[in-house]
Amino acid sequence: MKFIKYITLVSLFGVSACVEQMVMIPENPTIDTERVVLLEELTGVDCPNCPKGALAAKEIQANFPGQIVVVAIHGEFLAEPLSTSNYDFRFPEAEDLENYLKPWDGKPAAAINRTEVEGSSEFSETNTDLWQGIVEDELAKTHVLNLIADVNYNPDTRTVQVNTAGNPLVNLEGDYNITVMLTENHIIDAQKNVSVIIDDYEHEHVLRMFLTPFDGTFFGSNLGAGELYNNGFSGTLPDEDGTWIAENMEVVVLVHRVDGSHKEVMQAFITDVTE
Amino acid sequence: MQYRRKSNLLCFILIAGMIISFSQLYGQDKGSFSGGFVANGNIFIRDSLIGAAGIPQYDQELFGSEVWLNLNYRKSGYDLRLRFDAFNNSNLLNPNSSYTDEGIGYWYISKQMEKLGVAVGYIYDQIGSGIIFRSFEQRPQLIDNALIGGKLTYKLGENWDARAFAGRQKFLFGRNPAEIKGVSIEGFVNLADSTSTKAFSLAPGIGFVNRTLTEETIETLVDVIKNYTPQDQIKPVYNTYMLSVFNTLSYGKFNLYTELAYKTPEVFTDPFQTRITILGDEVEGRLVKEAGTVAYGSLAFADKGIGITLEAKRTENFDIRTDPTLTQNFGLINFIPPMNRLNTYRLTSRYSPATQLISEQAIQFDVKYNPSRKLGFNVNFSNITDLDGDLLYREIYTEVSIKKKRDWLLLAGLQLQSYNQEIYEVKPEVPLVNTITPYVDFLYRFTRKKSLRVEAQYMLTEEDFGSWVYGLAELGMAPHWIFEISGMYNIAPSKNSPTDVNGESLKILYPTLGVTYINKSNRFNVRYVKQVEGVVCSGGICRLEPAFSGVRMSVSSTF
Repeated sequence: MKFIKYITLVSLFGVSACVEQMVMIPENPTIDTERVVLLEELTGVDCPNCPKGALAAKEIQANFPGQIVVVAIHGEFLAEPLSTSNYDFRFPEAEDLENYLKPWDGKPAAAINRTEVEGSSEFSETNTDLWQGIVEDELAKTHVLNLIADVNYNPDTRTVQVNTAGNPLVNLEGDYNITVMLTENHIIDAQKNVSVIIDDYEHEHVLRMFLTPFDGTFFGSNLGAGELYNNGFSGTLPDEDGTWIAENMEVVVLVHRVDGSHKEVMQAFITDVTE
Repeated sequence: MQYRRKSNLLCFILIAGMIISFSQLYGQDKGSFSGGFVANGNIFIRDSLIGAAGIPQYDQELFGSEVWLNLNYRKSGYDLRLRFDAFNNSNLLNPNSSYTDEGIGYWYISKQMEKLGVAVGYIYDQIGSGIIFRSFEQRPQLIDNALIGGKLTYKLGENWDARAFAGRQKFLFGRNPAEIKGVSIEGFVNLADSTSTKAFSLAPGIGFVNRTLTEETIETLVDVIKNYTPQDQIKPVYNTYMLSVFNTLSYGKFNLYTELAYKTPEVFTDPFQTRITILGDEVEGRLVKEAGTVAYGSLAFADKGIGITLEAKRTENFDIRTDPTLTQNFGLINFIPPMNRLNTYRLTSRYSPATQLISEQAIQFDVKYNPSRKLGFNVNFSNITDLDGDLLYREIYTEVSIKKKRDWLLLAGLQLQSYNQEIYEVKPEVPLVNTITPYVDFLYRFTRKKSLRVEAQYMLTEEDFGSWVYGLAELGMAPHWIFEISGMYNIAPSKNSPTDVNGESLKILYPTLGVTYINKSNRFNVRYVKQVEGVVCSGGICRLEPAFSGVRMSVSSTF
């Protein structure tokens, strides 16, 4: 009898406050800003969950058209070509950038504007479900720098000339670098996907080369509002081998802090190589 | 961060001061003071061939350490405890990254006042077998899920105890979100009549736990769910309630433990569910909102020379965390007992199944028979599937032990395993790993102080890394010294084994050399270790760990 009495007491305690207000799910927001956010996806062809990361990035781009720049970094970890791979996306600077964004817990992971993940000392988030929330937070920040680039591609020599212009809208303290990367879309090659290898997987935003050092080149210190910062960079595309197709390639430009552990990206810009 | 360090220091001084002043204030009743110290040191020696590379410890940091110092003082019903933790380039939290921090990892003050007990601080506790709540520490994987809060206990009668607790879960030197509250009542009812010599009793209990998510967590969930198409959208709830009813029935030589647990619908990540994105792509894994159940039973029979145990368990949607977006072993507020034999030999423990929280049904059968003091037999069988009946793990384990007085002891047996590596290690395109592993363990005592233990194991398999042979020799020179040499050799490598530049699988030896010195309650250990990638389990919790190459040192001491 005692036991039944105690069970009743416990049950009463349990059901005493079971009613709560229902949580409402809002529509996806539209964020009106000139900010363009960089999403660097740490990925690899040997990474079983990385296609999920690519889909998450694609979905975020669709939710915020023109406001997200995606770069897929095939560094060292889980990036070794598969037995059925035709191409190797790794190169030393991609590995350097992957290390530059460490520590991270694994792949897929995304470094979003190279800001520290809340509650962590890491620059990247491995939970793909959380990427959009971080992107929204970054888009909601004040737009502080206009950044544009003009690209000239010579199909005969395969040289790419990129002229950039940066214009701070507020005074920005600290040291800043500018990085210029080339990425490539529509590369059909093998990719692990959970329990299978997809031989004709379409790789997007693959980081192929830098026109600057992997961590950028000096852009300026203590940037003044309204000042104009112009730079020029060039590089030559290797011969086509099924990849390095200029029409599929994009130029990504970013201005970012380089003070100690501060690496955050102020603004990103993307345009086609053959614009 | 700075603030936390200052408050940690203040807390340490305060509690250490309390411990000292308590011991001085009550000079007559000195109480009991005890403590423990554990320190680990690692020297990382890069070996990219076996995969011991690509993390900061191998590439730049080279050294890592962990330190724990416990101080305990008990007196006049008071119990004061304090622990200082320090991590320096540690790979315990995540074997693929480096963690550095230090501070007060644990403090606890409790007082028993007749029937009432009160405790505050970092609380380790569990309800029943832990299915709805368990706060615990598992150092080999840096799991420390202590509940930071308060606990009350009350003796309802001679054989009945009630308890209530509330708090938040510890994570490293901070806290995980979500508030956790619980109550439980446990008792003992003796049903044997006074003339009976046969035990007949019940030990019933009931527990109730509530977890309330924080507003911030709900906002994160909403951020995720709002991207789902309408058919996949769910509405998260702040509160989840869990109920567990359990009982141990003892009748003569039989013991029956049963536990049934239920969880109200809540949001959690189901990695096996898919969703369609707004672009029409299919993505694996999504947040779902489901109720959960666990049924667990263990029937044991013990008589002279024989012991039989039969266990069964069914788990459905019982992944409960302080934040539903956490994964792996992070943020779990419960513990579901594993259903396989806890193997200890190097090769028989190479493939261990981690408990599945979403979908699992399992049985385990264990028989121990000792016809004499010299001879013993053990047979264990476990079978684990998901709720659709797909095999996750099967093991048949046999062991014979033969003993000749104090001179020698021989253990030998055979293990057969089927292991679903695709599920447990998330490795695509891999078949079930089927292994056959004979093993022998021979202990010979030369004198009362000097002994030699030799182990030999052979794992026959065509999957994963292929077949292995393992040998160990351990020379014990009591009471101070233990010398160890062992090697694990990939005798017939397979497709996952390291390869040379031509893609040929390599036969690699993974050696270990070690020495242990014991002086009273102090233990010092140094080992050179080369260890292959594999699943490491401790206390029934498993994770995949990368290869290790380097020197491991440890010091442990109790006082």
